Amino acid sequence: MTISNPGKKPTGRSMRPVGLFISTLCLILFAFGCNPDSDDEQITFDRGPFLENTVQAVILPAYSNFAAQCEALHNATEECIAGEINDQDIASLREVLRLTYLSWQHAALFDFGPAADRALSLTTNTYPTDTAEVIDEISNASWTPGLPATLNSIGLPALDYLLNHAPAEEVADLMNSSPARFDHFKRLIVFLEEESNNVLSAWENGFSSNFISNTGTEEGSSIGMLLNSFNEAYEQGIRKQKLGLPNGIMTFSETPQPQLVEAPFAETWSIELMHEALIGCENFYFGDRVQGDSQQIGLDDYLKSLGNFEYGLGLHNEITGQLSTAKAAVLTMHDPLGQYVVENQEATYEVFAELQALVVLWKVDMMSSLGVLITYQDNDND
Amino acid sequence: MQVPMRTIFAFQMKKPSIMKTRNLHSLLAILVVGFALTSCNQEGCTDSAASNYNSDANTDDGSCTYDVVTPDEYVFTDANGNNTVNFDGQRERLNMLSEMTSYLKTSNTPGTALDASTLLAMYANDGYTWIDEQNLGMTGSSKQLRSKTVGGDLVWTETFEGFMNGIADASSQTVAGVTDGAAGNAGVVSSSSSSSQYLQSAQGQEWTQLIEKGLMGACFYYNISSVYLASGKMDVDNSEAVDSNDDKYYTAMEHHWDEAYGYFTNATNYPSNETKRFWGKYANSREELLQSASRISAAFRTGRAAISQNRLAERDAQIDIINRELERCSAGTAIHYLNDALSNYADDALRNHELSEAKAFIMALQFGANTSVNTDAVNSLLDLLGEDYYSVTTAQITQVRDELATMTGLTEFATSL
Repeated sequence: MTISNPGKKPTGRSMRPVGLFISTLCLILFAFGCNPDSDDEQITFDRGPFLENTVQAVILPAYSNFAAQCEALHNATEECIAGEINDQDIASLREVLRLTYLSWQHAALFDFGPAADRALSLTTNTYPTDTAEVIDEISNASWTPGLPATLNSIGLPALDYLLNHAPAEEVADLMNSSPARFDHFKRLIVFLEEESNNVLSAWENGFSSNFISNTGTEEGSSIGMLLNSFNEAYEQGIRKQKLGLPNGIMTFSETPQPQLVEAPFAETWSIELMHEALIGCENFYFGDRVQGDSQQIGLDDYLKSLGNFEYGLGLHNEITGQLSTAKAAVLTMHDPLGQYVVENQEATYEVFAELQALVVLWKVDMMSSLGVLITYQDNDND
Repeated sequence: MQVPMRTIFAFQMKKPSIMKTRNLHSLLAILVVGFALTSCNQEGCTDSAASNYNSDANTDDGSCTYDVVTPDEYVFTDANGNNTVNFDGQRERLNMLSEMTSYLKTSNTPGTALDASTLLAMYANDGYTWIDEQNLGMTGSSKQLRSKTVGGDLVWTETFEGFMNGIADASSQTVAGVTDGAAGNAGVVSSSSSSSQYLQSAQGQEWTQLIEKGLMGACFYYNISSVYLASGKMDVDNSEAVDSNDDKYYTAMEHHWDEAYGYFTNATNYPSNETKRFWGKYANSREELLQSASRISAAFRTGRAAISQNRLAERDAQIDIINRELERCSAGTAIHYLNDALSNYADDALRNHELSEAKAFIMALQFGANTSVNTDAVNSLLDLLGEDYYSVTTAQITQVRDELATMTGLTEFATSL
């Protein structure tokens, strides 16, 4: 879906009366000699500062944190001495990998522009990983990561497998007895690091400024790409992939699929990653990494600026409440998530319902409300 | 709502009073000028509808000229009201490619073999019995796609015949129910994310796309831009009907223009109609970002009106627009498919399908007059993309996209198309 044609998009909520009301309000102000652009932020929302803040306070930090974590992961492998890797080394690597996985949750929400150009989501986090293929590639000298055929055996899921599939001593032993295995582990990390840097530098070198200056609302506009990407990442990448497929609710047979959880080999990361992804959504929604900082212009300001209506402040309050509810619901589950979805499938359906409620609020109601604003902006030139 | 509505009316009521003051000034000015001019005789164009209307003139000297009016539809008649538009030959060729495409697509179902000689007979319209839904008399007609492919150039016609032999051979080896197309193995490839499936080569190239979209370029685009709108077909008589005894009420120039139009679309009311196939479809798909459908169709209508008024400079201006906008449409469509291929990068069937489409739209660019992407540039872009769509990298796809966007001035749309 796009927001390119707001006139056709009154999904759920009535838009025309609202648009008319705002236009009318504008006319009244104008007729009485007020300048609607002066200080009345109730009805004007400038997309430029919103995009600028989203880039500076949300997107760039997300990519630079992720790239920094990939680099830290690479550095951690350099500290290991091939052939003499011990369980402490493995424990350190695991901790850095966990932080890398967490940082990815924030970057994963922005799968457009430079990330789409590199298929970053696919190269970073295609799961479940094909473990047999991961092993096969160890001895492949001409291995070219990133080609379509390699997507099922690279990225964070492959690293989760190689690092977490057995107790630390055993993982260390395998790496020591097979130098190629350790080398392949490093090759995977180097590729991850390269790709994270490619996307970060594309954002830093040119894409950011173009993105911020493209303040239109038509197909392909920054707002359109951003909101569509966010909604898709939430609906497909978080709600469906992290829970709806593993617990079976989104499959025909409704059979739990424990192997489909994120980071299944670590056994203790899945829920934390899901929770972190919601924090990423929250940061994006509020426009900052410090929740509630009113100086930072986010989607919350978009909604609040509409005023004390069901589709404005009311919707904002609903979203805020549902975010808290969803985060709390996720934390009611216990790792290993793969085991939990099998043993407590019904309980996970309730968690899923809380995640689903955010889809309705963000994708249906919020997009519709934004359509109101966009209609108003367009009418400005009529 | 009641109070604000009244306010609007009150606000609007102010406007006329301002206008009145202005009108009063104008009236005074006209009166003053009028008095000053009553004594002399000023010649010029006195028709206020003309583009060179001279308000000071009081005697018409026959110099009036008029802007070419763009009609809403592609409908033109002579002074006696006879229809002067005919592109039946183009309609036949578009229908031939439609029928051929339908036949080609049957091979996407494994176990369906295509017959090479049937495809070649369709291409050359040689001994093939068409379904001919519109009863145009396609069977046995002199019209064909082959002779109109880059003017019947052997290198090109053999290229397309090679694609036809290729798909016939590959299709004959597919087995019902088996989708075993994969890297290194020609066959039907099944999408991992949708129900789509396509017959593709061992390198993931899809013959159906290369033939259908390829002929949109080598036949339709080539004839529009490099034949019918080029000097050879435009520097012709525009003074008398070709043969009014045979219902050919059009001039040679008018007819050539109509033939170009017929290769773009068969609908006189495009883009209200005929947005389901060939250039009409893809121009319409690029409407929102590039305005391809509205710009190309308006230029065709304006240019045709200009020809009927024998305004050849105006005609040439419209030719330039058509050439430029067809190029933007084709390049924009290629870029669109390259972006789709990035989105579906992990899905072999969709990625290969979209890259095959992109390849055909890139190939088409060399057939435009005054193209920004000549044959050498097309080949270098396709070399960059590589032949094997199973081992193409995202960096290759984005590089082709960005270079193509630079060549055609579409950089600002490179990621959004």
